[in-house]
Order: sequence, then C-alpha cells, then structure tokens
Amino acid sequence: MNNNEDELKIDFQKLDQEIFNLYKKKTKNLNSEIEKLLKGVIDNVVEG
Amino acid sequence: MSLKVELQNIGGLRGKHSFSFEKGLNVLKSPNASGKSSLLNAFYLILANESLSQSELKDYLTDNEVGGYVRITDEQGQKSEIRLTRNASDEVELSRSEINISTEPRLNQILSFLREKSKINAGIQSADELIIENWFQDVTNVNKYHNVWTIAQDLSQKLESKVESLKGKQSEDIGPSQNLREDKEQQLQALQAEKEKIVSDPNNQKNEREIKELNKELEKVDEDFNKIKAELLEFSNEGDVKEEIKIKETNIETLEEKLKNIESERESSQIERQKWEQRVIDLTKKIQNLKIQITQIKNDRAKCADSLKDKKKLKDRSVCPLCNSQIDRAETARQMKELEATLDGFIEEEEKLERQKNNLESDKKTAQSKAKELADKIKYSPQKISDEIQKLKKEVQELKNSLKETKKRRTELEGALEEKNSEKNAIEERIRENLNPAFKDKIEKLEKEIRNLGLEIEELDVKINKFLKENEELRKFEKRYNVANKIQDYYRTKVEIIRKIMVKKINDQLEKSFELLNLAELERITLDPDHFKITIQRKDKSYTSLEKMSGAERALIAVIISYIVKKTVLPNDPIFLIDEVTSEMDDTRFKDILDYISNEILYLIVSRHSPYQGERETLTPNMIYHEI
Repeated sequence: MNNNEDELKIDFQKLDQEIFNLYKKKTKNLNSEIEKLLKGVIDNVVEG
Repeated sequence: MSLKVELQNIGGLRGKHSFSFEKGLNVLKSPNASGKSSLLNAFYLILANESLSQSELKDYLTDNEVGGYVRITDEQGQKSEIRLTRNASDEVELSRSEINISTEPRLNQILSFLREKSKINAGIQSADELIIENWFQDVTNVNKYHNVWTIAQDLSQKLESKVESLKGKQSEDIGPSQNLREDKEQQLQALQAEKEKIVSDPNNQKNEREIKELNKELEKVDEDFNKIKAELLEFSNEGDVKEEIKIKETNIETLEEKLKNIESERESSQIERQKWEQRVIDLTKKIQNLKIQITQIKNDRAKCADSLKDKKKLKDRSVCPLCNSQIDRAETARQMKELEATLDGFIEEEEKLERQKNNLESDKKTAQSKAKELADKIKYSPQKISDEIQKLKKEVQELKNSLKETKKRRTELEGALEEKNSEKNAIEERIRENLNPAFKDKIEKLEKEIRNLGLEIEELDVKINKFLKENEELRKFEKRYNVANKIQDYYRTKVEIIRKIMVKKINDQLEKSFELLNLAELERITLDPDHFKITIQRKDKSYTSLEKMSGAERALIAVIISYIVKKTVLPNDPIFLIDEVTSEMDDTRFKDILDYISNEILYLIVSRHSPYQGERETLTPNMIYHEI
C-alpha cells in the first residue's frame, strides 16, 4: 500500500473550511454530511 | 447603564415581565417554581442562538400561550430579541433579530450558563473523568475536530476491510496462468504459421486467386470475431453485481424486520409515553396543592409571628398601654410559649412541605424527560429506517436494470460471435476445397488444433482479465485507504495540538487566578495536557482528587473551572449565569468567590431559592437582590 505520497495531495485548508461551514450552518445529520464530504475528498484525490 | 431583560410568556413566567440587572453580582432569590430558572432560561434562549428542537421550544413557551418573547438591551442600548410563536398545528416557531450580546453563541450556551445539571457540574460532582473531558472538548472546540477524526477513522477502517476482502479474492497467483497463456500463444502462432505456409504455397493451390480473396475475407471476419470476443471479456464482473444485489437484498430484509419491530415497539412506546405524560399531569396537580398548602402555612406563620411580637411588647408590662387593663404576666408568658411552639410547628411543617415539593418536582422532571425521550423515539426512528430501505431498493433496482442490460448485450454479442464463427468456418472450408487433396487432411488437423488452442487461450484470457480488473479495483481502494488514513492522521494531530494549546491557555489562566483559588482554600488547579484531567493541590501542598472532596468543595471547583474556562475562551462575554449550582456550598467561601468573580465580569447572575446563612446585611454591599 505504498502509494507515491505526491499522488495523494489533499487541500486540508479547504477541507477545514468546508467542515467549519457545516458546523456553522448547523447542518442536520451533521455526521453523515461530514462523511459525505470526506468521501468526496477521497474520490477527488483518487480519481483526479 | 444596566442590562435590561423584558420577556413575555417564557416558561413559568406568564405575562409580561421586566428586570434590570446592574453591573456586578445579581442574586435572584425566590422560592422554587417562582420563575428564577425561567428568567435564566430567557438568557439561555438568547445566548444559545442555535436550532432548538420542537420539544425544547415548547418547554420555553408558557403552556397554552400563543406567543412569547425575550428582549435583552445591553448597556450600549443594543437590543437582541427572539420571539416564539405557536402555529395552528401546535408547533412552536422561533424568530430572532440580530444577536448583539454574544460573539460565539454555541460556546456561550455551555460556558455562560452553569447550572445544577450542567455537564461540568454533573461531572465534577460525580468525579466522572469522562464527562469532565467531554465538557472540556466541547467548550474548547476539540470535539468538532475529534468528531471529524472519528468519522475519518471509521472511513479508513471500512476501506481497510474492503482492501483486505479484495486481496482475499485475489489469493490465487495469476503468474502461472499468464506464463501458460504465453506458451499457448506461441504454439498457436507456430500452428498458424505452418497452416499459412501450406495454404500460401502456390504449388498446393487449385486456384491461387480465389484463395487470396478468401484469405482476405477470412482476415476481415477474424478481425470482427476478435473485436466481439474482446467486448465479451468485459462482462466478467456479472457475478459481482449479482453478489452486490444479494447483499443489498439481505440488508433490505434486515431493515424491514427492524422496521416491523419498531412499529410494534412504537405502539408500546406510545402507551408508555401517555403514562409518563399522565404522571407529569398528576405530579403538577400535587405540586400545585403543595404550593397552596405552603402559602397557607406561610400566612398562618406570619399571623402567629405577629401575635408573638404583640405579646413580646406586653411581656414586661403590668398594664396594657391601649386599654389600661391589668396584665397577667404569667398568662402572657404561657401564651408566648404556646405561640413559639406553634411557630416552630409551622416552620417545621413548611420545611417538610418544601422537601415534599422538591421531591415531586424532581420526579416531574424525570417523568418529563422520559415522556420526551419516548416522543422522540416515536417520531424519528421508523422514518429513518424507511428512508434507508427506499434508498437500498432504488439501488437494487438500478443494479438489476444494469444487469438486465448487460445480459441483453451479452446475448447479442454471443449471437454475433457465433455468426462470425460460422462465417469463418465456411471460408476456411472453401479454402480447404481450393487446396490439393493431399493437404486437405493436414490443414483440417491443423485447424482443429488451432481451434482448441484458441479455446484454451480464451479461457485463460477470461481468468487473467478478471484478475486484472480486480487488481485495478484493489489499487483504487488501496489509494482510497491511504487518503483516508492521511485525513485521519491530520485530524488526530489537529486534536492533539488544539488540546495542548487550550490546556496551556487554561492552565495559564488558572495560574494567574491564584487569588480566586486562595479563596477556595486551594493552592493550585491544573489540567493534564493529554486528557483534560483535573489535578488539585490543597493549601498544605498535598494533592487531592475530586472523590475525596466534599459536595460543597466540588460545587466550588465547578464554579471556578467553568468561570476560568469561560474567561479563557470567551474573554469578552459580559454575562455569566449560575443556576442553583451553589446550594451545597459553604456560604462564606461562596460569597467571597462570587464577590471576586463579580469584580471581573460585568453581569454575574446567580439564582438561589434558599436564603444564605445570616441575613443579606452580612453579604457584600454590592450584591443586588431581585425577588421574583
């Protein structure tokens, strides 16, 4: 499972901001929304 | 300037009310159920500033009232207001104007409002480290990131299991199959070359031109044949789709079973809920009766106290100053004794009734929370499961549709392949017819071997293709797993860093507040950087734990911790509310501590139903009493 680290670049600043927005908006089903967000980030890194 | 609170129909405060709080310590003093907590709840409602549940909103609006409001005007004249309105379907709606009081509402809710049943007080009173740590994580925002970390961890674990399961499927080593395919391919090429050599030798041909044309035709048909075969290889994952459908259908069955159970549980929950609601009604009536009895006794006690006062005036006199009649001093003394005994009886009875009332109120709260818990259960659970079932059914339908399409296309391709195969056979037959009879058998034999080798290679291709596809999927999931791991690592580190920073800030603030600790007769309170664990050092330098402290000492620690953390996290928030948390405290130390805090905070508002030891004259002069 030793993928090249360069291939796995994640924009953590953007992710932090998006999570902050979910909390700020007092989103319903917060945890499933966070999970969706994380899955999206993972897909983007893998597919992109 | 003062902080003005105007409200209407909030909790136990029916109708319009207005309160003005001066800077410093404000003490709300009145018997139980007279509206102290409702007034503090009004602050809470303004400060909380987040979506409240329907049952919470219903608790805030006075029963049977269609609307209410809370308006707070701060010292600069800025107004913050919320309104509660009951609509036609008995739902309570909340609307608010801009909130000027608080800067960080979510934390204000927890930090500006210390009450008897708050998490920090409950945690400290029961010396429960987990509750204490959770509270710290909440108020320092660590929980937000801890939550994300937990979700990322969960995702990472799920992906790891997926990777492991994909690896399990790939247990067979594909290397030998690939080598075998290469060998077969070489054999095939050798046989084809041999056939080609015979067929293309003009000496062996009857009609050279026709064979040339037939070979061209065969090449074209062969090309089509191989294209169709390659497309057919793509269908090797049909089994996986079937397996996925099967898993999802099993999940649907499990959920439907669960839903059925919940539906039947729902009926019993409904009955149970009605029972608890009835209990709330019964207890409310009993509490009401006790209140009437207490008021009656208070009146009787006041009359008795007045009579005693009158008798005391006559105690040392022999003649009545009003009617000049002789006074029997012995009789007066006897009557005084009798009145004193009656007065003691009234006080004792009043205390007894107060205790009964407090017990019933605590029972009522339990019954209310049970009823609420059951109401929530009835309201939400089945819907969530039904939604999940619908989602799964939709997915199964989509998979089935795609499988149907796949099957349809596979049948089409198989038909086309069969057709091309017949075409191929027919052309080959014609080529054979055009060869000298001496080579016909040889060619036929070679073609048979070529066909068999072709079938063997085809079988190996299916196997290798399946492996390659699975391998590609495995690599993708490994990559996913690595990303999820990176995310969870990031949030784990973030949680650790924020926790360390917050602990340092709080510890610094605790260090600076040695005067406050001194008033609580403590040398030091510190937090452990890894677990928000409280360490307490007494004046004699010995270390102690919450378990070893008295209830009053723990209550003091709760006030100190809550105040210090609020000071660290919300230094500009002007309001701090303490609701009944102080009932077990030692009055002198409590008074000193409140005095200290009120010098640092603009508005310290404390509610307390029982009077302090001694009368209000013994308290600091800057304490402002509000009797409700």
